[in-house]
Amino acid sequence: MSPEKLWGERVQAFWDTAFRYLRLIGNSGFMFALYILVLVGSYYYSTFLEWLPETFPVVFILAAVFSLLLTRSPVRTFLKEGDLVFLLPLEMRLRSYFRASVLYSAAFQTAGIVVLMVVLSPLFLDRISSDGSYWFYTVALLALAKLWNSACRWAEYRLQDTKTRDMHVWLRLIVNAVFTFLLFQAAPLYFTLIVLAAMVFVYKFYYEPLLSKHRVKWQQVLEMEERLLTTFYRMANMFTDVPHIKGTVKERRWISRWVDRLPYRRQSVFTFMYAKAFIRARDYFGIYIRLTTAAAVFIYASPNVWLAFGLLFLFIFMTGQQLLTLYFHFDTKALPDLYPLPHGLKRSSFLTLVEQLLLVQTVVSAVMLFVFHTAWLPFALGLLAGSGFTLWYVRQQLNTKLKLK
Amino acid sequence: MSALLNIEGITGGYSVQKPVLHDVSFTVHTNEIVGLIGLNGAGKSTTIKHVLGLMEPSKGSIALNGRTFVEDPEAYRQALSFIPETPILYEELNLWEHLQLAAMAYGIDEDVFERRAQELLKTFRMEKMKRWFPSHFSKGMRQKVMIMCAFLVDPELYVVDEPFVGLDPVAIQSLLDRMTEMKANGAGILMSTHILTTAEKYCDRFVLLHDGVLKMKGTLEELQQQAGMPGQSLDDIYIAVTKEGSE
Repeated sequence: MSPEKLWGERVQAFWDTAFRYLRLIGNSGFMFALYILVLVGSYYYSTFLEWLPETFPVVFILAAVFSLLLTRSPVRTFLKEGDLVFLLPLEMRLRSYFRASVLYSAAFQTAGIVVLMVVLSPLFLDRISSDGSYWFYTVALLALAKLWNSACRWAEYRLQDTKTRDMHVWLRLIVNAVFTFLLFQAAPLYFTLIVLAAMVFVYKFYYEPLLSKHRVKWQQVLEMEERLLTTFYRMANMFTDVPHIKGTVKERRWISRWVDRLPYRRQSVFTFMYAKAFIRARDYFGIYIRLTTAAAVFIYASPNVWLAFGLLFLFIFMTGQQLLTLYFHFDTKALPDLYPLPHGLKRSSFLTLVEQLLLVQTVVSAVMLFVFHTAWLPFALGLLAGSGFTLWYVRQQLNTKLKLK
Repeated sequence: MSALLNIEGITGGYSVQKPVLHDVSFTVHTNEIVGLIGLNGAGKSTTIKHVLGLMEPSKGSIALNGRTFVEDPEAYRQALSFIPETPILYEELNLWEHLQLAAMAYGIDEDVFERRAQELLKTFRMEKMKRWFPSHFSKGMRQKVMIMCAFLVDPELYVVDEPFVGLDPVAIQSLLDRMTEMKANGAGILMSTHILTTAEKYCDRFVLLHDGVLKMKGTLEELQQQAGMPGQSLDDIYIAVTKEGSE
């Protein structure tokens, strides 16, 4: 099989799986809640732009964001662990395979940059340049810079030493910072083009020779591939249950001590397991904190009390969707089934934990309502109805999920 | 003497039409170690799953202390602990929390738990890894965690599936010493293994499975008699019996 064909098949196989997940994501309740947030957000976007003070350093912020996006140029190789054994001998013949990977990654990440530029276009036209064609130049030049970064990143992966590699990343970051700063400063185009020419020069005379001088560092390349794949599955996992994703466990000693305060007895077993998993596994804890913070920020920024009141429920709904997947966290293990514990303890322990977490969020949101909108009625209603909604919704959703299994 | 574990004519497997086990019967008494011997795919793991109550036999019965799993699942599970072939660990719990969880689940008193756990950590040389997470453990260390959890519970019946693979020599000896000690204290142990020289030395009786059928059972002497191979080792008998089956 030719390398090109192999590459094509790998990409096809990935997208077949990815599309199945994307369909699930599109249909999920969490996505629906995001649509609503985007709608609300876009409605207030122009108000936000008017409110944004003249002194706000738009150029610096944009240059910082885009130079980070450019520097961070991972390469999706679609390699699998078994390739370490089976493809290793063919390394010399895989040039076109890897070239396709670099081009694919650059194109894919450029698409992301374009989307972001479209979203930012009102800000861009308002503060950077009112000339629409300059927006197009900017996008085109960013795309070229992305290609350069992807190609360099791939060459950097030939270097064995992590420190040396990191050094290259820092240097690229500086180059990208200069490049994007000139772009967003709307400096005369030939300045930017000179930087771009220098970049091409560096690639030709420094990076390209690396490719012939050093071999592919398979182990590291595989690690990069796995990281990227995990990122995708973790993203998908926010919307739907993804089985068997490898995630890192974070100890989070301070918060998990709170779980150690559970009484030592049989009834605590599942609460202990679920609470520790919530704090340490995948990113349940991070998602919970982020969504609770987002709820507070949205309620603060909402120009209308009753809109803020509605957002409280929207966020309970979204957080609940995330937390409920935790129920199946131990399903791949046979051990919990062997414990001499009463039937139903798992379910009741889990429900209590999730309810407590959502009630904390309800209280935080309700207090925000009171503090930023100084309204007693929405506060009291939010507290009461929010709690009621939580208790009803958690049970109802878990039943639905269990029926689907 | 009534048996601790009594398996009577069980037939079972993943589907009723194609059972893996055919009419298998044997017992495990208190104060003995029974070796479950068989080739890959002979039905050892399936037998163990039935004993654990993870699978239901389509025919026959399994009783632990005279009661079946269906009659009283909690009491049944309380009476046994399991050391799986592939260690099953919770990635988000550290070593000490694994022990704590096992002790809580089986209702071990907190002070008994503390004492036993410290002792086991010392025996298996894992004191330094008390706060480690499974991702930092080698295969052998993972296996040790499983072994410690099982001994911590101190049940009447131990079900042990191929425990020696990946363990270092010191750990293997500690495990064997512990098993002998538990046996002397009155426990029954059902152990599946391929390491026949070890099995020969430590097991009191053997159950030889081949293609889901019980080929032989008894002490080493009884097996030698049945096979007509007096004085031969378990290894030789085992190979002879399985050869016979494939002809």
